[in-house]
Amino acid sequence: MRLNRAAWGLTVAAAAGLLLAGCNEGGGTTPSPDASGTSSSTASRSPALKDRSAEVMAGMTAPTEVARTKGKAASELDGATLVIYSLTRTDTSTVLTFALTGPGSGPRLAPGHWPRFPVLKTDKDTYPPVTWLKEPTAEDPWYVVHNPMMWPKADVLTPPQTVLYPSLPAGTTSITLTGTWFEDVTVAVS
Amino acid sequence: MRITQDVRYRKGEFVKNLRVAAGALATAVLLMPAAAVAAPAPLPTVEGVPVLARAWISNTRDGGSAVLTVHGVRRIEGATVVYFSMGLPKGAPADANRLFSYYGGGFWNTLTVGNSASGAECAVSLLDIAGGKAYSTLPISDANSCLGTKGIDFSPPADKPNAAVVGWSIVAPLPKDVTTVDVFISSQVLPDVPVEDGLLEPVSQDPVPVVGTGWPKIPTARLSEVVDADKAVFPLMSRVQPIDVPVAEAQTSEGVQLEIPASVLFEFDRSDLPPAAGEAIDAAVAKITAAGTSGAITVTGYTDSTGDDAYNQALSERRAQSVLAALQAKLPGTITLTAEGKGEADPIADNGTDDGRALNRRVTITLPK
Repeated sequence: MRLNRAAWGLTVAAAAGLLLAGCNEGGGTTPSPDASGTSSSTASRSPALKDRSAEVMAGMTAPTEVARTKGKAASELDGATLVIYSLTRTDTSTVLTFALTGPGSGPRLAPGHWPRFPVLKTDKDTYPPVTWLKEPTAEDPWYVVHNPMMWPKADVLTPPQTVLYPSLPAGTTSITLTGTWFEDVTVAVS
Repeated sequence: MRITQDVRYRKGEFVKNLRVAAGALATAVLLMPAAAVAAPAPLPTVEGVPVLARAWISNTRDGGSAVLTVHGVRRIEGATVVYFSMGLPKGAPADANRLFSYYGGGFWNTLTVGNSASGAECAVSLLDIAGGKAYSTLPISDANSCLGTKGIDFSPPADKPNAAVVGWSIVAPLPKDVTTVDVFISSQVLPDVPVEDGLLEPVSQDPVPVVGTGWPKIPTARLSEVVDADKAVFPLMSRVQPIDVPVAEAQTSEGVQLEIPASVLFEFDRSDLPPAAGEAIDAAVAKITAAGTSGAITVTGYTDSTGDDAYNQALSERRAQSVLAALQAKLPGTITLTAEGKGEADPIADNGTDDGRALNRRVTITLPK
């Protein structure tokens, strides 16, 4: 996202500054332990330095399934199951988060095969995954923005993974995930 | 409204130990019915600690889970610094794996190929889809490396087993007008993260500090070691394909590009436009007009890699010229058109497959920025 978000960013920075200025534990200032002179958007009065891990991770729980589909018969992913955790839209992009099971240790969503990746289908348009130019001189130069962390195994879910898609139109509530690898499935957009 | 990865996590459904329960969990999950989408969990407001995006990640060794948090995407002179933390949730076993590189580090296909860097600290990318570019970690003269927390061991202090600790990576500089990016890290895309100026303070003496106790010191002097910085910037392409119209619209680093498959324009080995091509030409004209286009448009023909190079080059030139002529007849004179052929160069898909070759046989129309 570009300049039209500048005002929003400034709002965030201002809000952060207000929070930092008004919530200093103990009411005093905490000097920086390192006077390296770097710039910062933080307020002049620093909060107390202490472990904030629990606050930072608060509310985070394991992803839960919202939809699933099977690999198409005779496709490279025949026998696999795609477990979908979310399809999240913003004004800049759409992110599919999912896990995959086997069969065996063979198939996976290979990022070099972008034409075979599931596409998002609305009433009017289809949205293939966003791709990046890996090697301009290669036979297969464009890769999906997706990093398969491990090979799927039978009956064991891979870690959560994501695939990046273009931004869906605002107000889209559901799409059909379709393509050559998996049976079509309807997925709610959040 | 900002929507984050948090959307996919639901309170009260926490799985404590995926490693121990991996088989049973997988079976249980596979039997679950489809569920409605959970309400997005808001990002917490934490004193002195920006929380810009979060994701639930799992490692490749034992399936154990962790929480990844992005704390900053900060501009500095000549680079961008990404601050993030990783912590294991309560209930994680004492011997849980805490090496960040096991939690979706970029060993295969993350945006690091151009600089040949590897390892989790080198697998952070910032995506600007509107600008058509991805910005990856800056390569340094030390082969296969980059500037980032090295060999990140996220083991917390012994008395704080669930503490999250902070790491960082130095990424290519972002253009000044980019104010938010999607962060690609640990196999997760975290959308819509704001870009801000300057390093986070205060600085801790601990190179991998617990979150909230200060931020890692960023060795900005080492930016002098950066080599081939341009290789850390990759073109991105984002396509939308109408269902009823054979003209896709792609957002690229060059601007908006219309793509028309050669199969809807031309018969095999021909370069004259049959009447059936009229629908695609009309659709392209409509898109060009709707975009308020003025100035110079480039029409480019491409073939697949089958056949003789010189023949493909000539065929692509003739096809581009045919499309130019058809467009010119329907567009106002304020728009100038140029035709070029690129033969089998610049493929967008694998020429080793039928579907890839079909995608490569195309005509593109590049609109001025």
